[in-house]
Amino acid sequence: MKRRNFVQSLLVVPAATVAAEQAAPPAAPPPQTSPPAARPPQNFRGPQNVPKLSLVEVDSAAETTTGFFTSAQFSALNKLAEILVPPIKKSPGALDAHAPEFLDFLISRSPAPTQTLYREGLDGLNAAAKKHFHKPFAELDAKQADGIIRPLLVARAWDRDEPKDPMQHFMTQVHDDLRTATMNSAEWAASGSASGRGRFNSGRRLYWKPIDPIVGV
Amino acid sequence: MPIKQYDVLIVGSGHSGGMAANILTGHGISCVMLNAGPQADYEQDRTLKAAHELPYRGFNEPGRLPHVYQADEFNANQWVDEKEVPYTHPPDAVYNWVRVRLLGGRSLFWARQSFRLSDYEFKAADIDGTGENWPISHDDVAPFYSRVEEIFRVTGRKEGWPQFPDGNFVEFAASEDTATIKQVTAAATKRGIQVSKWRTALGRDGLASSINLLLPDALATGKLDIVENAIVREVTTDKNTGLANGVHFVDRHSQREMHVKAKVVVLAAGTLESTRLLLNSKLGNSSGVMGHYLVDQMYGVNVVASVPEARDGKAPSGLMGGSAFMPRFRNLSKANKSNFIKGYCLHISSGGGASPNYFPLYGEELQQKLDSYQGSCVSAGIFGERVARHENHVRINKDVVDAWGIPVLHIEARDTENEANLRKDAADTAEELFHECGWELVCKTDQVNPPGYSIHEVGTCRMGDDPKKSILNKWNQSHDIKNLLVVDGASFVTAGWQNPTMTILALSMRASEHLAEEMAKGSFS
Repeated sequence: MKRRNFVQSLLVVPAATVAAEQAAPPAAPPPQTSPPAARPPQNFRGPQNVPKLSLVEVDSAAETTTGFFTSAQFSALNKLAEILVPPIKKSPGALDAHAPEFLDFLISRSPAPTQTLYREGLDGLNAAAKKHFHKPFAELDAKQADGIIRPLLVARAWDRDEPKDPMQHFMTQVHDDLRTATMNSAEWAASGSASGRGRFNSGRRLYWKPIDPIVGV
Repeated sequence: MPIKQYDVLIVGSGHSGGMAANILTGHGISCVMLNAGPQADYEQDRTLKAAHELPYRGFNEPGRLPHVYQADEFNANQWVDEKEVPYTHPPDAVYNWVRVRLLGGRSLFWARQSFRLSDYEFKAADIDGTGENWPISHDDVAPFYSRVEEIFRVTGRKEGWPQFPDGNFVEFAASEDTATIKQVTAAATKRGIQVSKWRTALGRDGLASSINLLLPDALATGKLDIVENAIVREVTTDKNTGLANGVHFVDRHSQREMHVKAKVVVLAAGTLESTRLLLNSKLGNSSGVMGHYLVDQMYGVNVVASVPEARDGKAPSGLMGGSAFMPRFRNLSKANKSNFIKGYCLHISSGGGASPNYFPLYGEELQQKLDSYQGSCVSAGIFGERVARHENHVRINKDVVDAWGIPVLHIEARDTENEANLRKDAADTAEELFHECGWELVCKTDQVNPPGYSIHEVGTCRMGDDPKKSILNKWNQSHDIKNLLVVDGASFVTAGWQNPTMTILALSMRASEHLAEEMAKGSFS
């Protein structure tokens, strides 16, 4: 509920603010030869003055149903989210941003190699935790978890570098994904510049809609 | 409705097609232009959104556009859908073919870096001791470069260096370099590396595209008709003369098959689409080199240093920010020989932050590091020239067709030791410069993106004087079919390290003016 109220609060931004944001980047003017926008003819008899109703974002009204990962895998993913991307100052952490639930959805739609990377990576964390501490990864304390995570972290000068070791590869991928899912969340956007981490631009950007998409091909 | 009779049919509406239309209609020649995609409505087709308002929270839709590294969920709809128009490549040779089919093509989205090729590229065989020279030199193209630069309002600093020919620039707004740029400039100069500034097309009203700089004037003549959503499948020829007489195309939405006639056919569909069209048409390849000598540029190498006194937000005013541009400095003379041929430009940017990937850290510890390094970094990257090789080629893959049943391209392009040596030299050079400046090296890699990533693919219908070694003559005309021209990047013999746009525009202008002169004399009537 807390999250729903939080997200709903995003929807009551004063209209003037939204209008100002939308006006920010000036659109390139159409070529001089463009015709004026088409208008319905005066004798048009279709519906008139159709209202545009106010809607809410789906995440403010419902929660993601997870199910791609097993319970053990999802618990390990939650633990990773808690440790790798914690709340810092006024910025939400990955758990606040429901990043694990989002990744359960995202990975369920991803190509098979990505799904395998995640499943085997999370299983690998649980296996390492059981081997060294005789309990699942999710039940480790911070020091124990660090003992497993830190050897898997690799510095990369090239974003697309994929470590050859599968567990290191998994760790770089899940770390990237958890950070992105957190910083692209509604919760992060709402935390805004007050967090002091405004360089992660989660503000509005220009989005290209589907342009004259083909149908039935 | 009576069917119009056209003098010239132009396939493609990007920079090269737009220039052809602009020049030809200016000579009173009637043209029809076919574009494979629709016209974007800049008012209706764009909106502002936050990442969390998108279906995949700013991650792109999984599996969509796997070869377009530039794609994200915000811009995914501007690129050609790889499922609609697929292509194939060997599993061990990834190729990034990045395409736009909107009216205006890739001219809508280019980065506007505006360089001329020099005779180090036009006469590369003389310098490298291998490969082929172009049949033209910088002097042949210079007048056209000047006119293109005026239209596109290119800004740049004149230097007088032969490897970096000056242009017809609009006034260069010089600003004083920051202390870090002065430092790295001094370190480079000490090594004989010349340092300049970016050269950029300002365009008009925030756009430097065919749709605002070239096509409006062409339309204003009343001599140009533009048809959108026309997917050309084949160039047709007259059975008696063997000359091109039109194209077959399919309507993108209805799949209705159509034919349009013209006295001359000009292909400007983008390097590989023009070549694909010719290969599918089985035309113009008596030399057998069509599809070969595919080449582009290496984009990559990443060397990052941090300026200690700029950390923790303590950079004094005037220390950080700005850029330096070092045009090709390797292999400019026979005395200056490396373990590779050709060269690269090094571009330096001051004042950025560090990527989280640079540090094997997480959580608060990582955030503290990122906060500390924010604004303190200087980074280096390259545009490096690949060698045009016969084995790097495209061919038709008859086993795979696009959404309109047209056979797709199979693309094979691999780097060799020459490319590896070049990028290693670049990374080492950048590290040396930063070391001399006294900065802390944060990361260094000589990796580059796969072939095609630069979106500067050129070649595959190269020009030449010898019809046995080339596809086009020096006027971009097919050696085999004189009323068939290819005016996009397919005509290139070498790629250079430079963004090819100015050269594509200048060559299209040059070829179109020559065509207009020939038509005025009665050719192809």
